[in-house]
Amino acid sequence: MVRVLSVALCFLACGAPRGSKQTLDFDSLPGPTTFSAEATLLERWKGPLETAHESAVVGSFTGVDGVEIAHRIYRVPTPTAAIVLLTGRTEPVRKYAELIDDLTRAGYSVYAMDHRGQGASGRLLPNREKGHVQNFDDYVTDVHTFVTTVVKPDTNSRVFLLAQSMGGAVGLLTVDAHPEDFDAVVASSPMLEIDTGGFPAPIASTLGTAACSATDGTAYAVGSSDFKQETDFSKSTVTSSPTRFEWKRVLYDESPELRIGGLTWRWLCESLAGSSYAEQLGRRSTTPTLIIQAGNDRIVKPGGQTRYCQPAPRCQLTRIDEAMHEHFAERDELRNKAIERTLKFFDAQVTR
Amino acid sequence: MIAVVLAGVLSQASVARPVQRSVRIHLGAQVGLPLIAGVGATSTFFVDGRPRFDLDAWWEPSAFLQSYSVGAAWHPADRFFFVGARVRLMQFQAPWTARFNHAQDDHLGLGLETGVRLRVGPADKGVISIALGATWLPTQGANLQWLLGLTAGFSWAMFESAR
Repeated sequence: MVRVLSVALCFLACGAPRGSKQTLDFDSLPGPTTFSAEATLLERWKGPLETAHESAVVGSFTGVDGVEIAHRIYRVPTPTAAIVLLTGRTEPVRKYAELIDDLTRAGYSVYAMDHRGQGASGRLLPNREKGHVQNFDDYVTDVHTFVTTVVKPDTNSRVFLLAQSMGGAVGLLTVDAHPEDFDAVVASSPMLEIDTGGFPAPIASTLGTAACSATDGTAYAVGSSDFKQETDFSKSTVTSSPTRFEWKRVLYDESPELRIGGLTWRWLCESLAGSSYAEQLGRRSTTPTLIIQAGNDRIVKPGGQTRYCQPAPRCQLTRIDEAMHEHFAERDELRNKAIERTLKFFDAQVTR
Repeated sequence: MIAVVLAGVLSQASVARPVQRSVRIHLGAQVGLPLIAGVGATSTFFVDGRPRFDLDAWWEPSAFLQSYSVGAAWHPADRFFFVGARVRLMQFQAPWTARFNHAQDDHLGLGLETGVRLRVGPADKGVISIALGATWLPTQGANLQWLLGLTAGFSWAMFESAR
């Protein structure tokens, strides 16, 4: 109770720490500028990209409550550093084959993990397509287990985190709970304030918490259902790249076992609570962090990211104005900016 | 239910009761959203035979969100409607579950509420309560900074002090 009161009083009285932050001027830094391109993506997927994905070291470990957590390791000789890759909700590691190829070609080993309940990891409910989690902290515990039992024993390099959306919220919670896990973090569109769409946040949170309080929360939340293949690009809410939109459709056609549908009430409640808590943690983060904000994001709101980064002494926020939620699945000119800034940020941490 | 509420409303219009009670303590239960159920005690303080102030304490448990709260209410013009404020300790996991994490799950809530408390039954010992409220959680992010609340409950006077 004393902690709750002190946090509440600090919320009202404490401002951001005084003093200016050290930020990187990405335009003036050298770094790789050539990455995978839309023009050859579908062709390369059936060639070197899929080959690289299939030749990764595949493994698994036992996560919270005995759920099997799948991971893939993409090693490079004499790596610059190791990057732990955390995907967003519903996304399998397979969807990141293109990004992983860009990262390994830039000299980084990549350790990618499928969150519980999605990708190649174990499911939590008999209906494999329900996006469900029992406790948001389970994601965090799984990541910590991954880093301590798989990643760090496998490398002597620095360990960086690159995380998208829900993976970003999970990653920032992990940084708070286990600051020794990562030497630096890049969070792309981290899910720190969910856009509740037509429902104002107080109504969405009231309905969600009511459903979770009254039931076990395993039913689909209102508006959610089993997986539906997106075929109409004009309705895309996450990317403005027709090629990468099409590639996602191809992936789920090829691998129907990777499909995840809508979210359960419990996932909604846990994510509202987890992301709301994560938003508050910037003030006590000392890990170098780059948040890449999408200027045209329809999935998460930018306010939570700004409120996380503003009081964090070593957090830099960079915005890509035209980008939608998935920077790494965007049109080349937007995606390249996101990757360039990610690599320049990581490179700067290596040379510090 | 509507008839009972209507009867209660009409009965509130009557003039001062002959008994000059000063305080009553009610025990009761309620249902609502997002806190599904609760049990609590309410002390009602009377002035000139009519209820003017309430002080209460409620526990609203559930499988997910639960709340411990104390509240104070004022009955303007000594009538059945009220406005009040409430301080809550809210928990985003039940504390008896293995995953309860004090640092992450305990949150302070500050609320305002309004509604009616209708006195019914013999010697007006029963109280039907309907309330609408909003709770601000200053330690939460934007997604959970405000929760709305609706409750309906019934209490019965178990102790009375008269003068």
